[in-house]
Amino acid sequence: MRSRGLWLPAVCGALIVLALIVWGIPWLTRDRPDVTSTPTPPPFSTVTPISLAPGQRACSSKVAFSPDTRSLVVLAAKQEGPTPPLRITARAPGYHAGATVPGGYEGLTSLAATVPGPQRSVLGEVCVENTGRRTVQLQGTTEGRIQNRAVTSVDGEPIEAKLSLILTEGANRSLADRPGEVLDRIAAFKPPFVGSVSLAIFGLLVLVGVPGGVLYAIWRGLTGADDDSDDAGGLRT
Amino acid sequence: MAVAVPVRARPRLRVGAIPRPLAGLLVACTLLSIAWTLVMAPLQGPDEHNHLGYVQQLAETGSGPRFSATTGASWSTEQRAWQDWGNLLSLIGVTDARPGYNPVEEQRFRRFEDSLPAGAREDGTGPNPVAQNPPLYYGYEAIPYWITRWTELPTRLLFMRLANVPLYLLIVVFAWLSAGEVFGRRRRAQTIAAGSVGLLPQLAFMSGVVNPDVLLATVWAAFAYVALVAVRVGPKPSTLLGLGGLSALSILTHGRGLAIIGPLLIVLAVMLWRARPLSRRVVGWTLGLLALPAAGLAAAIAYSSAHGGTASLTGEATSSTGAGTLTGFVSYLWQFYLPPLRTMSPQGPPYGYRQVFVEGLAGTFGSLEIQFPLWVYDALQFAAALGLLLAAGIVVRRFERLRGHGPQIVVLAGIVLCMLAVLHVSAYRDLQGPPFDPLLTGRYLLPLVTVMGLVIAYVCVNLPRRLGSLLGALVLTTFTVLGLCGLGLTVARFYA
Repeated sequence: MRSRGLWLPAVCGALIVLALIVWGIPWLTRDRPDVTSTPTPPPFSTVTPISLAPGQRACSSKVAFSPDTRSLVVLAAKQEGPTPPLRITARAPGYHAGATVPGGYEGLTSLAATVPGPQRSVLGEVCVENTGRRTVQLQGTTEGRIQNRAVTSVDGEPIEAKLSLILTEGANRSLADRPGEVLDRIAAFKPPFVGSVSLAIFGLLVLVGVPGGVLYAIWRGLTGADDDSDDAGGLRT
Repeated sequence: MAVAVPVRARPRLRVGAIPRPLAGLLVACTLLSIAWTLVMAPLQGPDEHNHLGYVQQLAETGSGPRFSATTGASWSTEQRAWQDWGNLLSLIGVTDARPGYNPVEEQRFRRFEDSLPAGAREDGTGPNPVAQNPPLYYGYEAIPYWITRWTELPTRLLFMRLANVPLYLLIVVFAWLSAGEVFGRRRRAQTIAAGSVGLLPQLAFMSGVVNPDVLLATVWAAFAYVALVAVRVGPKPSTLLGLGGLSALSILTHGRGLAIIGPLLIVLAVMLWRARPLSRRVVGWTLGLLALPAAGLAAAIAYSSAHGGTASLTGEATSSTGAGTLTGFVSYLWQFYLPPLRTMSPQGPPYGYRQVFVEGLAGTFGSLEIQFPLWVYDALQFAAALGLLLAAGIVVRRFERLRGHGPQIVVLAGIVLCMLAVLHVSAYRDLQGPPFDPLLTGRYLLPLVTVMGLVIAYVCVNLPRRLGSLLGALVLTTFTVLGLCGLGLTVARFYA
């Protein structure tokens, strides 16, 4: 191996390491909401309010709960005046949980109900009941792009709009706190040979191999003699 | 350009001895492409759900889907089930959404796959919004689909994505070879050109999703190389066959591929001009060459007419909205690249070269929702402007030497201008009617990346040696960092 001309790949390597540290450490350690499921994400552009009169109940079906689920989040739509309390419940085979959101919240805010998680991953439904004396408007969507399996019903009658609903762990956590969980999520819906272990190994290979390949190219291509007699007769015309 | 390229012996390829810098780049690019394949959530590439639907219908039935309504659906029952259980449709472009990664969702889908109803893979007959696309890329992708037909659909998609890796690597190889044609046997120029192409974040990302833009970029990279060879060696059967064949492949890949007719005619004109006086044999071969794209065009039109319904073969290459006016087009073009003059009325949304050339090529991933912080694009825009000024300065200073490379320059400029002309005319026409949206994104420029790499290399090799090498290395380093950071942003977007 030639030792001459190593200054350029060395400088580039240092820059890559520096950039990845400066960018990568905040990326890894920044707290983010840990979303366990998004049965129906918030609308992309247009909110379709779902009105619930006192005593009415809206339910969203086929919701995936995981043992990490701790928070059921619905969104209040724009509305005037005092807002009523809501009872948010999660129900699935072997699992039932609920919490009350006190009234008095503002429109266009997130309303989170803290609940215990199920023992295992399970499909079920989330319901929001208006337990107050005034009508409430919740955020829903009829956007064509929000096409999913969930069906929203009000008092048992399916409606066109889908209730915006997000499930989280209830606490913000960094990626560094949960590498295994992130790798498991990447491996979902992939063949068995793509698991968290193989992904971790491949991730390391990418982190080393991509800069390594580029630095090798810089070393052999940019620091040697321009006609590079080593490669005489190689892949070129 | 920098060094005169004398007429040499016939082109000779020896794949067995890959130059070391190129080998390093190919390793890096292979890893990047596979990483994008794994990290990008399923069906989250641009229109990937529609492209998958096209491939599946073609592979299962031998005929692609229709653009207009049919008795079937836009996607097969199998794909719709995956989209439902994987939460994949509402995920597209919605940053608050996450894919279905709960084990129970995967189990339910597996259960569905285990008892797949008859015909559940074949009922995605349409309407499919990409059905008017010519079938070449989809036919190519049908091969990995068919080979893995016994697996579940997510696995088939994974292998279809991986089938892009060779196409992507070919782009890098052709950029390397093109640099060899332009600069001669200079590893420095070849490394910078091929590296700045292969490591371009947008190209690496697109190689990890199912989309015909990757094949289109490969065909154009090959065309650029063969065109450069052609103007050097003259109208020989092999080069003419290559030019004609690649033109046909471009037309059969995508409507935007029609733009290749312009560069083809330019290359022919340059080649024939240099070969005067023309023999009858040369004229015959040239006419034969033109038969290839003509046949490709006829096949593409026939396919598109059968499947496209009201949509035309040309897709994004032309527009179904109004034609506009010449003055309006000039105004649009001005405002795309420069601040508007007082007399100009706005032409559509504020969308110009920054969004397409800088943000688009540096990387907006997924369905455009994954982006770098604005300061990154600001810095890249500044660097690109500086690079262009530097290039202009070198061109002026070395104009006399450049004149000796007129044919090469004409060919490369022709490739860029013809594609840009088609894209701009199309975008302008899109602005003339609802939804008044210029259909022009960074990935549409991928067929031009070889020329971009050559320009970067040209600037670098014309600077003092150390400075040029440093600049080239910095470009490669920057793209490497951006590529890795883009992967990180994507992980956070989908799996945090």
